[in-house]
This record gives sequence, C-alpha cells and structure tokens, in this order.
Amino acid sequence: MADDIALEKRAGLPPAGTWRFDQAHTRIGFVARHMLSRVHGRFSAFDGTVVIAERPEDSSVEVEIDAGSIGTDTEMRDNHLRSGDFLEIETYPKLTFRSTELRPTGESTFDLVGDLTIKDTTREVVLSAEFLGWGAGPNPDAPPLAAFYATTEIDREDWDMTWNVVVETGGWLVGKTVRIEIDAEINLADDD
Amino acid sequence: MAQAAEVLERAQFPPVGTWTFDKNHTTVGFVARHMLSRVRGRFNVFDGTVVIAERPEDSHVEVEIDAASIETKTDMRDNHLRSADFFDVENHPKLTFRSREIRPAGGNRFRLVGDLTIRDITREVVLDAEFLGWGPGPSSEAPTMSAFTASAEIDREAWGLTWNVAVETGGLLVGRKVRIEIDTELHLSE
Repeated sequence: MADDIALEKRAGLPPAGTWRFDQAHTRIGFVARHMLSRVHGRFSAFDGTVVIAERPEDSSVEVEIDAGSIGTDTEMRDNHLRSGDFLEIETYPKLTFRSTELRPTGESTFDLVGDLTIKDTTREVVLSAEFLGWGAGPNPDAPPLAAFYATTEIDREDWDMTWNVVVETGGWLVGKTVRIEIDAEINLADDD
Repeated sequence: MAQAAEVLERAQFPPVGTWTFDKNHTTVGFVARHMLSRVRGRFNVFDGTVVIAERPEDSHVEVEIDAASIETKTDMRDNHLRSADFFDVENHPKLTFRSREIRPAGGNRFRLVGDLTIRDITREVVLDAEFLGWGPGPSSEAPTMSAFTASAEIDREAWGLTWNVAVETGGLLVGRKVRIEIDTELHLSE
C-alpha cells in the first residue's frame, strides 16, 4: 500500500525491552476458504508481550488469545466455531502461541518459529514476518511503537479441527488450510 | 508479450441472470495505514444486485452500504468513523456503488469501473476484479453460486474524508490511501 504517511522511522531495530500489543492497532486475523470464495475472521481479545533482545535472534513473543473472541461477522457461524465442532471454548478458553526461535531471512524479514496450542494440541508453526519500522509514538506522552506483519498457513486438522461437510457435487464446504494474518503494533512497556 | 483479451469469454463468467450477495460469505473490507502498521475493517450491512448479461461487459453491479455498519473492532474508533469527522452517518446513512463499465484484463480478470458515492461526493473508482468460478450450491436446495474478488486503492480525500492528526515527530497518523478488498459469493436469484 502506498506510503503516504511520511512518518519518521528510526534506523535499526527497536530498543531492547518488553513491549506490549497495542490492542486497538493489532489484528490477529485468519482467512478460510468457503466453496469458491474466502471468509475473513479475527480474534478480538488477546494479550501478550514481545521481548526485544539486544541480539534480534534472542527476541521472543508470547500471546494468549481468548478463543471465545473469534468473530467472522456472522453470529451463526461464530457460535459454530466456538462449539465442540471447532474450538470447544467451554473446555479450552485460550489459544496460546510461544515463540521458540527467530531466524532473520533478510534486512527486515524473519521467520518466527513457535508452538501454537489450540485445545489440547500443541504444534509448531513458522510465521513469515516483516518488521515495518519503529519510531516515537503519536504524541510526547505516548511510548515508542513498532510494527510487524506476520503470516502463515496452517492445516486446521493438525489441531483436531476436522469439521466439514461434503458438497454434493464433490469437494468440501470449508477449506482445511487456514491463512493466519497478523498486523501488529507494539508499545514499549519496559526498557531494559 | 500476451495481449489482454479484448473480450471476456462467456465461459469465464457466471450464467446470465440477476444475482444477490450471500451476506454470510461476502466481505466488504478495507485497510488503512496507522502509524507504521495497518488497521483493517469492514462494512457489515449492505445490499445490492449483480446483473450478468449475455455479453459479460454489459453486466453491472449496484450496491448500497449502510455507513453506520462500519466496524474495525475498536468502539472508540468506530464511533469516530461514524462521526462528522469521517462518514457523518446521521446525515449520510448510505454509501453507494454503481458500475458503469467492465473492461477485460485477461483470462478471468477484469476492471470494474463505477461511481462510488460517499457523503455527497461521487467519484469514479476502478476495481481490479477476478471471477473465481461458479457452480451448484453446497446442497440440492441451495441456489447456484459464483464468487468474485475485487480490490482498489482510493484516496479518501477525494471524497472529502480529510481528517488527520499531525504526528509530533513528523508525518501523519492515518494514511490517505485506503485499500478496498472485497470477497464475495453470489446466489443466482432469477
């Protein structure tokens, strides 16, 4: 997208320290196939910290996501996703992600490896991530902020979410592959 | 280098007829820049028809969007977007889009040219669109369905949506350019 904001971006990596997600400017989203098209959704309640280390590779991310906060703007579907057919939120109220490794892949890109736990299954995922820059907050009272984008594709069946419907003319109603898309802004909470 | 097809092949477009949006499988979305990142949102309430003609290029789309149904999952921001600083939904409850032209762009792709009206201002937009296929619905009672995706980048200031905040260290808080992203499934109604 065109960069027409002309913000002053600081050079290099964000300062080392503990950062928290700016929830109004962070989206944990996903896209799934339905028939020929796509359905977009997100988890709107979550919390987490990003620890930026002196060596980028030593940085880490931990996020806890409220499973019930799933939303695809269709109540019937959202209730179905919360049910035992999918997330079973009554038994498993949280999804968690804990990074285990960060591997730079370019000047501002990196792979973020970590454990994603949904219900009682933990599997490794590798997100392709991009650091979008950091700088001062929007006013003198605001903390420094940094932004990232991360994405990956997962097979929901790896977490035992196998619900589907056979389509009479052949194929499945809902895709097994789900794309995860995260737009994140983080604020420095505590510098080392 | 291959030339873009001069016509949209009939086989690469859905059957002739009047189609309506499957609202549970349609997203009228947008993306805007905030500081260094992006904020995504959508309009949840809308209605419209898509008329597919014998000649694909004669097809057209009309959509009416409920401005107050804007949602970016942050109440404070959504209320601000509904206010006079942005969409002014009390005085302008609807956004409308009416297509005027379809230009083939090769294979299943085409450009959808039309008039987008926000508040009292009408400006042309050109969406890059793709027909994703059509077929029977998921069960014998379900109507025939088809799917499209479309996107465009617009300058919100062209519609008088100029609100912004200068950032003390330089630059602006919110981007002027907004990306429109539409994923839609349609049902054949007649």
